[in-house]
Amino acid sequence: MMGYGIDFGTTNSVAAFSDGKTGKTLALTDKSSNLPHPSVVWYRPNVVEVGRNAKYQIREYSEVAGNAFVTSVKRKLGHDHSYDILGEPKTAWEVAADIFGHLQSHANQEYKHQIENAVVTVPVYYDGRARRELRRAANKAGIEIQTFIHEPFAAVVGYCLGSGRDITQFEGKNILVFDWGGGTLDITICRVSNNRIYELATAGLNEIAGDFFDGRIEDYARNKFVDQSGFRDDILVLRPGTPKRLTFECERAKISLSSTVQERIQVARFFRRNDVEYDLDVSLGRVEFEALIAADMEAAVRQVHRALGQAALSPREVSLALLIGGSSRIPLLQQHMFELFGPRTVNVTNADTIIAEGAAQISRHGWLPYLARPIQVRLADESLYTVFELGRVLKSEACRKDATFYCTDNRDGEARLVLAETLRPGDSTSLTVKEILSVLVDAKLPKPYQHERVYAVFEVDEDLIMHVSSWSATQEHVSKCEIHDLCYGLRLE
Amino acid sequence: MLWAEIGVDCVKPPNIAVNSNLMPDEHQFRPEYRFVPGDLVAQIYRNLADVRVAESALSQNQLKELRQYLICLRCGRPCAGTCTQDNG
Repeated sequence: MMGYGIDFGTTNSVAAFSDGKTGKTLALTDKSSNLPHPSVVWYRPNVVEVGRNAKYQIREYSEVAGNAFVTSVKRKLGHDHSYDILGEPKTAWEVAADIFGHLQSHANQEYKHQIENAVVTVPVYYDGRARRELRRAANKAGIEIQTFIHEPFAAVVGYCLGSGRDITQFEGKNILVFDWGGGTLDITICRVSNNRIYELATAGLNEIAGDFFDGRIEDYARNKFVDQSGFRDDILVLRPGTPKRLTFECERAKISLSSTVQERIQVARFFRRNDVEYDLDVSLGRVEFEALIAADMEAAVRQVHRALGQAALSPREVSLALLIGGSSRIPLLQQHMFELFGPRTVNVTNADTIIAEGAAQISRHGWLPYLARPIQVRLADESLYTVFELGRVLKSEACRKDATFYCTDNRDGEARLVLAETLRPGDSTSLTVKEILSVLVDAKLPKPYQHERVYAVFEVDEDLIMHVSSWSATQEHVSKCEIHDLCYGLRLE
Repeated sequence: MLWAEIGVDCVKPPNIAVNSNLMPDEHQFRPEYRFVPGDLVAQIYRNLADVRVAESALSQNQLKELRQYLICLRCGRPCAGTCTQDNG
């Protein structure tokens, strides 16, 4: 069986396939660069372009009439966000659909793969509304989402299966996934137990990531140019096309400095004044680059400590620290992580694509998410009634329950269905109320043993959203609510 | 100092305590009066308001709620016996 996975990222997106016959798993990267596809969409009249070229044209055309760019659309999903694209409104999910469409057409044209079903990865903090819009976007591009899986879980699967390891060797162990891509840093500590992976703690940073570092190098290069040439910064207005070449060069230098100690950033005909062309030629050493981003590295390490604190773990109790995402290749970061976790630090070679590859393997094996915390109803005597137990596989046909309650106190004409999640089964001290559904009941004094009945239907849909409907025997009104933040893990069987 | 400066982890997330008034319509949760507030029990199941029955049929919590509902013959208020205590 062939499985497909898609890592829909804030900055870069990539699909991967896993072939059950050959055991081969491969990311469907941009063939020219062997890198994932930038999640950038460039709109022109009757033309939609997604990917690397769109990314490099932003600086040049973003202010030019008849051009519109959308970046980081992933952050806008689930918020009913709409963009003004050349005078027409376009929702965030429609923009995301263009990115899915690009992944689909690229897989088809370059690799002869048709992605019909795929496991799509999402960050741990992504809620049901965002997942619902992501599904809508994928569907528009002709891709049916098998299920959603958290990105760090896919990374663990991708690492273990990709390196020929058995995940069960980490039974009872803690794995830290440090995912530093172009747009965000996401740190997740997860545990493998009984063929399941679930999260213990999360932490992270927004904005401080690969693209931010590119910007720092660009500022450095411009400042150096100003120093060398003697031009004032305020007259340094670049011609169309030049910022794109500068961005490209800075990104290239950043990537190169992970393996070399010195790089040159060269942009020919960088600046023109009085009919004289000036080239930019700046040398950037790893030491200088590390000085530029030293504070960012320290901020990242603080987040690691924060996640460890949340999980109540010491660095010694982490069996594996996986460094994934392009920015985790920075030697200074690797050094910091090695100081914390020693040889248990793993610099993943396919850091850009491991999530998509893991998702493809999950798709091929048909593994599914499961409920990592039981969903319960708090009762009048303060005990708990379990609606869905810990470990319940989250596929829609397996997740429906009907229940009947009676109202113990109807004097205010309201029954209260208190939906709660417990960290540990049976432990009411770790209770978190998720939702309180108010149901209309008859306020008249009931006859003995004829307390008003309240009916409830609980369902979890394919987007891992829990829907609750409830009504009483005497009132017509049906109360409804949705729970978008169920805590789910990955079942490896 | 802002919360963000010292880290949000030090702030426990709010967990509103809202009392439910529902019990599952299942055998082990019957008879229903066991889970009805004591003051309401006295109104619905009038025979249980009798002190001799209530002592054995209701829980301590229900009895407390029931006493708060009963009108005291001494002071004429639902004083739950406090008027006697006040007078020594």
